[in-house]
Amino acid sequence: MTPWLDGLTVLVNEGRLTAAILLAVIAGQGLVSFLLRVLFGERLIPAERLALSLTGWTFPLLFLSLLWYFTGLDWLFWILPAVPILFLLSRLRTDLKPALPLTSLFLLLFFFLTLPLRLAYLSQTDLPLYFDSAQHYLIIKTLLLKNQSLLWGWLGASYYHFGFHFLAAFIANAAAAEIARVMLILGQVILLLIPFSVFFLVRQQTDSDMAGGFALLLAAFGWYMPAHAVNWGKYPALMSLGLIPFVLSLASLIHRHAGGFSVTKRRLAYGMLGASILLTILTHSRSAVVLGIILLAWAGVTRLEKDAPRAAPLVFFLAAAATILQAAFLLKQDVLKPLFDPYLFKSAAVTAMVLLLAVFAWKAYPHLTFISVLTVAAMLGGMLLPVTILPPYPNLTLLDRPYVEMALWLPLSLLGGLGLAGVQKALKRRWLWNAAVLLAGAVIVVNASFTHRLYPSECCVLVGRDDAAAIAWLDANLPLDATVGIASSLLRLTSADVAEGEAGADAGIWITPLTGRTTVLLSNASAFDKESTLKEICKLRVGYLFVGERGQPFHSAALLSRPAWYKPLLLMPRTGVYEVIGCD
Amino acid sequence: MFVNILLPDLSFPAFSLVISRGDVENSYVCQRVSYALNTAYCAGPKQPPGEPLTLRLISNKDQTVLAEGNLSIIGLAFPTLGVALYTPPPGAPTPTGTELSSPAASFSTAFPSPSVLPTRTKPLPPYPNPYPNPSYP
Repeated sequence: MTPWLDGLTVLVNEGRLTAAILLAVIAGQGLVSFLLRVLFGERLIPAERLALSLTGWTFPLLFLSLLWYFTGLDWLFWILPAVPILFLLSRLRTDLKPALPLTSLFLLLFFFLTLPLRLAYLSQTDLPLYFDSAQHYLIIKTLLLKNQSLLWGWLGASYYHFGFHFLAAFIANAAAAEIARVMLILGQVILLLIPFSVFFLVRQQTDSDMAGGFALLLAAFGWYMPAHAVNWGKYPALMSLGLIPFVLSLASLIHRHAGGFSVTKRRLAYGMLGASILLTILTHSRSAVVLGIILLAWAGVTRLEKDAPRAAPLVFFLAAAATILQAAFLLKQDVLKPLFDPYLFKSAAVTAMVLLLAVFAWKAYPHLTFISVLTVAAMLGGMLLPVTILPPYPNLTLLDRPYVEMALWLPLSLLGGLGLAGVQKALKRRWLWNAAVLLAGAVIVVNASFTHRLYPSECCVLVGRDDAAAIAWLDANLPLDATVGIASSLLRLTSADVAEGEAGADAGIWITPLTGRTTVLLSNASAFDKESTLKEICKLRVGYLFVGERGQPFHSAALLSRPAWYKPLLLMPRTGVYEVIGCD
Repeated sequence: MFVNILLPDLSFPAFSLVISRGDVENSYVCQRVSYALNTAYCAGPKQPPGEPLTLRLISNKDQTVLAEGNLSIIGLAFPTLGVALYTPPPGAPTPTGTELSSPAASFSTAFPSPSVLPTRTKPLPPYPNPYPNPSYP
């Protein structure tokens, strides 16, 4: 009960901002739902339309946020209430069927029950976690300045994935809210809505509400991913993980039904698909790789089933064997081994159940099962495939470990949902099927109650309370042109096992986003008691040093051992701000 | 002295801190941390360790007392060279730091452009750090 109560408290305390974000969700969902109805009419049942539009809600909102940014029309956000109002007016007609059939009600119930659970996360943190979040904050803050030359300058200097930032800036501007809170709440709402995509894909394929609902539960709580990604501050990647299934679902629907479309409808459909692909890639460039992988898997499987249907099972088993071999190889790589933590080490029971269900999925729905297995194989392989066409990134691979780790739940949830529908087909007796559903649901719920954390993970909290106060103090007391040295550590992301660069290692990473002071990354292992380090710091014109409370900060003992070089300005039990006074 | 305070909720009004030591009263200007909703800090004159202090949070609006408590800075640790560390007493408000001296001469609260980006430099010695931390407690 505690997470629900914590979530409801957050809902009350952050009511205005949460309402603004939910308004954006409802409006975005409403617009997508309207377009789906125009394009596909009764080919989609209401629950499918609801699930798909909840997946693609960001798509019109992203459009609107770009429009807001480039036109400066601040009132654009306030046209959003028109969508639910128009919907309600349209329901005044008496000849319509009930708006909410049972399955749609289940989806809405799932939404409203899990909303407080997701919001509970905010009850234990003021700032989004890890060093990525500080970068996102800075980008959103820059967008809010509405100075396009700054943005283009930024794009030239350091490319980043922009979709999430435009959307967050749009909402922060409209709700006059603190950026950090917008990031936190928007991130949790995005996380909450991602699993609805799997409901749609499974429901469409199997016509089974139960299998769709099971896939939804599996995607939301089966593994600690994608929820754990908010602890890494991976908001753009998380948002793209919601948009990828939307693009796939839309593409699949258009592929199936476009033959019967009028020219206008066809243009609308392809326009919508093209725009959603562009916006997905804008949100996170790795989405292009994942979309490409799935497209290739789909094309390959379709061709194989058409040209050599007898060879298809053999190729499927080869692909499955290749996946297992790849997984075994990756498990031996120290850098890539953590990939399996959510799926093998923490939720082995759920993964084992999904693998068992995959057998039934293959029997009943070989096409989508084959595509899912090939996608897993290609995603694992993508982490080993170097990309040499981008000279600034010599160690870049097609996909990186965190992204694959965040994304693997998608094909696995699909396999689980398809598998349960396959079980339904295989079992003749109704009570056996009901027992299977209950057992499968219980495995997820029991596993989640042990492994699924709804609060910020200790692994990634870089800012303590003293840090927050120290940064506020620093903002009020250090000169505007101060340059502050902050702790950093090296990144290792790819199979090459070489450093990709540096990343802030403590709360110092928030100094630039929150105070505007320039910061310089220095290794957190810097030997401050050595003269060579002082010379290096002086050469970099670092006037101050920040020591954080958490993460991997500088060693303050070394700083304190040299009072002639470093003068403590603010000392707390762990946090500290020092002035560099030893430079000539 | 720097006092870091955890506030009970968002509705807590603007306040200042008054610390009394014997007959001497010192006022500390307090600021809420905009990005840490329940956190505020107060800065002002140093206080000596060991003596009982009375802390009062006074509402800026009508000068009413919002909270009051006694504590003494009971422990000082000197890890290397004259650094004050102490054990915070149980309960709020909780002082957690010491402002040792006034920093730079120039002082401003104006907010500069946030477009200033962190400058990336080569680290000194390498330090292993798999990203993101693989542990999931």
